[in-house]
Amino acid sequence: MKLREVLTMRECRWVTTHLSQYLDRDPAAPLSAEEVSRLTIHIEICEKCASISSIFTETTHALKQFRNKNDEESIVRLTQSLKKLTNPEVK
Amino acid sequence: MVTPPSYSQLSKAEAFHTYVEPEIPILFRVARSLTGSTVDAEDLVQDTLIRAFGAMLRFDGENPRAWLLTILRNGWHNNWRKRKPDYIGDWSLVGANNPAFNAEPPRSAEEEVLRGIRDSSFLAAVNSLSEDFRAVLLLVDIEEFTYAECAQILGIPIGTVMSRRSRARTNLRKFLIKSADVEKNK
Repeated sequence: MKLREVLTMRECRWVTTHLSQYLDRDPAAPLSAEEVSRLTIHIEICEKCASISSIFTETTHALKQFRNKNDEESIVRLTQSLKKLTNPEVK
Repeated sequence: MVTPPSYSQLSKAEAFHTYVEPEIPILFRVARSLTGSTVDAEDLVQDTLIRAFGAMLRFDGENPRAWLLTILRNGWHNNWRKRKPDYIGDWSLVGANNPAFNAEPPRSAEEEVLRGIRDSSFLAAVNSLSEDFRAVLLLVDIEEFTYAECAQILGIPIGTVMSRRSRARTNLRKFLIKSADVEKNK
């Protein structure tokens, strides 16, 4: 294996390890400006990592569709349970 | 100006209403991510409320959310994890919301995987994850908790949240690639 291939593989590995942090931008797991730049550049030039990145992003979008906005009925039922628990006379 | 009564001045029932009732929505969202079903989530929260009420005298009035989440997590570990959950059952929601659903057959490998995300393979992929990975994925992506909140909910370090999240995504992708291959070879 050529040195260049080894270096690319190593870079891909680093990028995939940090990809979730890069995409999520969570305040508890910040990346430095250099790391962000390193990831951005690599994703632009590496087809495989760009593909992984778009799949991760699409996964997140797909999961968000599951967000149930109709929690209200469950919350009402649970609040009622709490009232029954603290006051057995509540029906 | 009326000063609200301190925790020690409240009766057990009053304290329960004051400290626990406002936390019901968050308990429910967490429970749904852990159990993967609305019905089980309600059961788990109800069980949590009963346990919390029983333990109210031991609660010191500090950080009710953390206290309740610990009870909920323990209840989940002890009872719900043993069940085989039916995660994210209502697939019609996704199909209805996604304009690409039923789109033209894709060509590249990446498009095959992206297509898998948009059809029922995705549900199977999510369900194929281990409970620990799935919980982190659902808490962050569906319920939009931060890494720190997720760590608190699950009682694990932030670093573990990050690694589980990353591995969950990687495993989802692998599953979808495999599904696309199987589909292609049919």
